[in-house]
Amino acid sequence: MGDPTPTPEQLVQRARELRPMLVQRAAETEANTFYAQDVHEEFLRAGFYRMLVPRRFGGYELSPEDFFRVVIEVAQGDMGTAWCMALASTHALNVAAMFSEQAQVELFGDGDFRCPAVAAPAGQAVRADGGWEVTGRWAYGSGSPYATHFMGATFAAPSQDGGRPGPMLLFIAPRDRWERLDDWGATLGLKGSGSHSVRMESAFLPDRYVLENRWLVDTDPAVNPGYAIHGNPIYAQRTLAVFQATLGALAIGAVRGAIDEYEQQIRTRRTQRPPIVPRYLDPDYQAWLGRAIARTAAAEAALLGMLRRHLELCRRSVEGGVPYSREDDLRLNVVARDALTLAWTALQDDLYRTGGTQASAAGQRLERIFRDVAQDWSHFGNTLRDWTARELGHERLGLVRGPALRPDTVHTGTAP
Amino acid sequence: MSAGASHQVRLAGEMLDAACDALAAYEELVRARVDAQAHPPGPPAAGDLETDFRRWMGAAIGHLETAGLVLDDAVARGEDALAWALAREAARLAHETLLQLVSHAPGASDALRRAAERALATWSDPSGADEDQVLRRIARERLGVEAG
Repeated sequence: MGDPTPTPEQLVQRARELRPMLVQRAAETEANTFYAQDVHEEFLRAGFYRMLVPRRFGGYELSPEDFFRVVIEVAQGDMGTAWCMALASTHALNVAAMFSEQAQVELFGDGDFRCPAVAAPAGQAVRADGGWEVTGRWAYGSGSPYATHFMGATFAAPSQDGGRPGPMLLFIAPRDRWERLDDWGATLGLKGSGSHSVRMESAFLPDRYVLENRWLVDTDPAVNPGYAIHGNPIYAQRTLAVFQATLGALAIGAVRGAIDEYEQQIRTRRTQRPPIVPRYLDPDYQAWLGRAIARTAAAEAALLGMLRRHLELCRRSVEGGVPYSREDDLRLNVVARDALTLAWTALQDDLYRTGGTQASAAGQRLERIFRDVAQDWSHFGNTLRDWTARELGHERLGLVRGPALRPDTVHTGTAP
Repeated sequence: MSAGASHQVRLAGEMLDAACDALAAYEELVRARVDAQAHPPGPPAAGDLETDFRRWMGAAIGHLETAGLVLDDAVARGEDALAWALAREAARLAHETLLQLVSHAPGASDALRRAAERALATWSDPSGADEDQVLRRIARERLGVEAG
């Protein structure tokens, strides 16, 4: 099914066709902490992991909007599954944008590429002949169970004992350089997302797999080679907006699934107060369902709309010479979080609140979706809500000095 | 529906305009504070209150872009119940954003007050009372049932 290159609509349709199976196997996925091998093979056949891989390596170079349309469809079946699949797939954008052509030829190979990434720096790297030896442990490596690579951040070891760490390093490590720890599944939700920790022990990485002074979360595309290599503006991206869009798309898909479940519930159950009628004929239940549909549609409109604007900003930057500014990236990041907020509100205020106690019993679909989206709601990206708004205000007023706030600038005391 | 989606789209557009005017007035107030505190050549040191104002402003910039994108989708859908509801969501986002600016204003502003008055007039349109009816219609279309 992988050849020829499928259209976006074909990929969306494949995701829809897989959805009933994903719903049916959600409990199994959660118990195992990631989806089963045969589901992985279905995704391989569907071509989902290749959606953002460059064409020269056998990928499809989908637009971010089309990629996230597929993610939404998968998440409508099971959010944990979609989280694992999406987070293993989306970082092809970063690798194709940031790493050298030689590195990409080696990393992408024939396009069989799945790469979880952790932005928070951990561990340290020691200089070695022609590269670095990296040691550390990185939590929340979503997508790691079927990964071919891992991307992380660390610091160069101090040049002398007790000294300050050196620059922050963004690295990518092939699968044989790291170990996946069996430590995922204890959180409230997203137990099936395959977000295990990754450990490396003196793993050698050649220089071309390590970028100095780069951070995955907040990058300036002007210094990236991606567009020059691939000629596609999707590889000229900034990262704050797309990072947050991932969290939004997964929630939107999950809440669509909650709407499906809510519909089933109100078709089969009766009201608890007079008049005693099937819930789907009751005007209150109809209004709650209608509001959830409208809020989720608004969330999707905002998300897909910001992704179209994101691509236009990428295109304008490489074809029109108008920089994709950090202010643009921060603004679209706020929009993506607004989309997530709308979806979460539809779930907790319209659907979960009125879904009844039975629907919130352990093992029920609505209960699982509520836990999964609540986990998304507590993600670091949403902790950044106020920081993002403040940074956006500062950018608008021209008050940002020097490099953007990053863990390494804080660490070394050079923050503006 | 007593009033169609196109009417809600028009109202949402007016609400968005009012909120954008409020943001412009807010930004003017914030810039005046920044200028007043500036000690050339560097930017001013900012206390918590000043950075809070900039945060409110930044949040509003993003929220109004969100409202505009939702409104664009309502326009593209034409004259159906979901378009009505999407326009209403866009208006709600813009209205809530405006209220946040008004209730966290860094100073007095006639422009901000006028924007708030326009927003209140728009939000008071009688068609807003139809909202739950429209939401039920969306649900009934999905459920395949008739009204009543």
